[in-house]
Amino acid sequence: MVIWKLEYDVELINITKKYGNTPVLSNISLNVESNEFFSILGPSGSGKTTILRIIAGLVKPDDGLVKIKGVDVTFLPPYRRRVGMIFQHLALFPHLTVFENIAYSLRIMKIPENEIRRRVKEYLEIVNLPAEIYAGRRINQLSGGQQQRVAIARALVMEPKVLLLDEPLGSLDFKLRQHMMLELKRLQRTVGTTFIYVTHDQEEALIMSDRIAVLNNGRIEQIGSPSEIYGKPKNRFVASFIGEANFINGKLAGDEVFVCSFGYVKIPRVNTSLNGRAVLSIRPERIRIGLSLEGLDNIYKGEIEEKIYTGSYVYVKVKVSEDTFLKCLVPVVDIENLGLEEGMNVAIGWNKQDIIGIFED
Amino acid sequence: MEFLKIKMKILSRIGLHGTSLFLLFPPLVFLAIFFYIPFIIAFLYSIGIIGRDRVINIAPTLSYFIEALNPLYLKVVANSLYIAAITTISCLIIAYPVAYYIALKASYKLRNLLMIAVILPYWISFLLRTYALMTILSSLNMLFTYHAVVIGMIYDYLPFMILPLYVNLEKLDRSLLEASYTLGASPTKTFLKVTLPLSLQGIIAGCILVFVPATGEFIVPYMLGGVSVTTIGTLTWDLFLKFHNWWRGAALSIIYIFIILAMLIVYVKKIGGIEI
Repeated sequence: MVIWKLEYDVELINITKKYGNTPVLSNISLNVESNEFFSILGPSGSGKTTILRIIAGLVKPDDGLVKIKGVDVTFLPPYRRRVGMIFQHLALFPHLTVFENIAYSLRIMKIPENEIRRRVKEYLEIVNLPAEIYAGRRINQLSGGQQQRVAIARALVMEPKVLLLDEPLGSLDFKLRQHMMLELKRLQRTVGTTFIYVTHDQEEALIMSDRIAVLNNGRIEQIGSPSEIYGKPKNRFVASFIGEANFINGKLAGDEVFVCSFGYVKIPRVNTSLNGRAVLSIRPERIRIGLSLEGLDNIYKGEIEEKIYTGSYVYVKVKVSEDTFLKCLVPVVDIENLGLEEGMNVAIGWNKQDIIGIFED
Repeated sequence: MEFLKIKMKILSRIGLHGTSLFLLFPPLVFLAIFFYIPFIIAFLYSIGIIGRDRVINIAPTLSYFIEALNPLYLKVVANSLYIAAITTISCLIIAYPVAYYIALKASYKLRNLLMIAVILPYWISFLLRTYALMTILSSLNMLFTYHAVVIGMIYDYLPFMILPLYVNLEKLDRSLLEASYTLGASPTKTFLKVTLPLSLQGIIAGCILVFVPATGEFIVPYMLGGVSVTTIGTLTWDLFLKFHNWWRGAALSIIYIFIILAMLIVYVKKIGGIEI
């Protein structure tokens, strides 16, 4: 006898999708765990929305399986899946009030009217919209942020097996977006529903997610926690798409030394399958800068080419060889303490663990 | 001077000033010559100010209205409204699926093709098409019957229902339908709870576009109904041109205009004051 243990809320197995002759998704497999905040991060056109629509049942995959809570739903229409979805432009019903919008799924489930009233009120409170004030309003009488909350309440009130969110914060202004990010994270913890969140914004993904899948050209480049994705990117695409990174062209000389235009770089041991040309990548905040440095694995001399002020940090562009510039992120306090100015000669350096990866060129 | 200032203020408040007056001028002149002035003349006939032998009477009279409100004529008015109502409802039932398919299901290429197919008959004169219909209906032994009139009316007015519905449905945000599916509504329920209520404005516009001219329609009942069907249109024609009773004809026209106006107001108010 086989005892099934339900580990995953959503499983995609070898999903493939083409529109005409254009492949949109090639062999996508991923598992989303229960109560997880899972993000799918990728540039526009990478196929991330298609994945979401396949999970919702709005798009049929050409090949592969979709399982929700262990059940194969590949051929189930969307209205039998009980999967909540927040659309990019929210898709709230303009002819219905806030109350009627949220009650929509409950009415279809033929839930008794007093139970509907109770649940709509409960979910309006969860999304911080007092029912007495907002229940009777029309959708066009709400601000963008309020509409967002109604859309979330509408999707959550039916207690979906999983909630899919398609770039819902894209249309909000910066401040409101920052606020809604934290709010969504809080909400996900409160209701304990699995969230699958699609975005092209790395900040949103890093702040909210338990795990992130990085998507590019219909392929998954990497799946991991935000710190894994940021700190140990698997390839050059992931390193460049998430956060800022310096890329230094050169080649491997042995498995612990990298040669480039400004000298030798000591690196952590790499597999030697990368013979020949390679790219070394390091984050700007990992590069130490000073008038002189010691005790680091790698130290070089350079000249400050440019300073870009960003608030509490300054991007310092350092020229280390004729055609190589490295970007360093330095706290304003350090800039002031060291008295760094453009044109000054400085020392920069890093330890070999600071290097985030050596990638194929 | 003070008066002029106030006048300008009122005009600008209702949006009538310089440019807009200039732009409104040609259509206003056109309407004045071909509608307002004839309407006033008809009104003057109906209350007897223009009397027999085209003499101007000082004392108006309601006698022509009383004549026009006799039970026989009221039956004709009711008959016209009945035919128009059947035409409108039939057009709505036939046009909705057509407009729905063209707007939401057909591919872009097919959509244009189908729209041309809807409009194409209108490249041929209305009169010619009605003549053509006469030969078809007579070969079916249906000419000069009540059914012939209804068939002719539906045929002639169908595009006036399809077009506003198409324009309305085409604007429908498809993600609303998808949202409805993800909230557990089947396609049928989605249609009833989302598509249909959101296309209400198109339905209203189409119904008005069909019902109003259908009530006053003259050519179709005249040519396809013959003597077996009398409508406001044919009765007015007879009063003016057969019996030369312009006074009663004018009174009947004015009654007709007010009936339509009253129905429109009630209809639009009932639906909830939706702007068209």
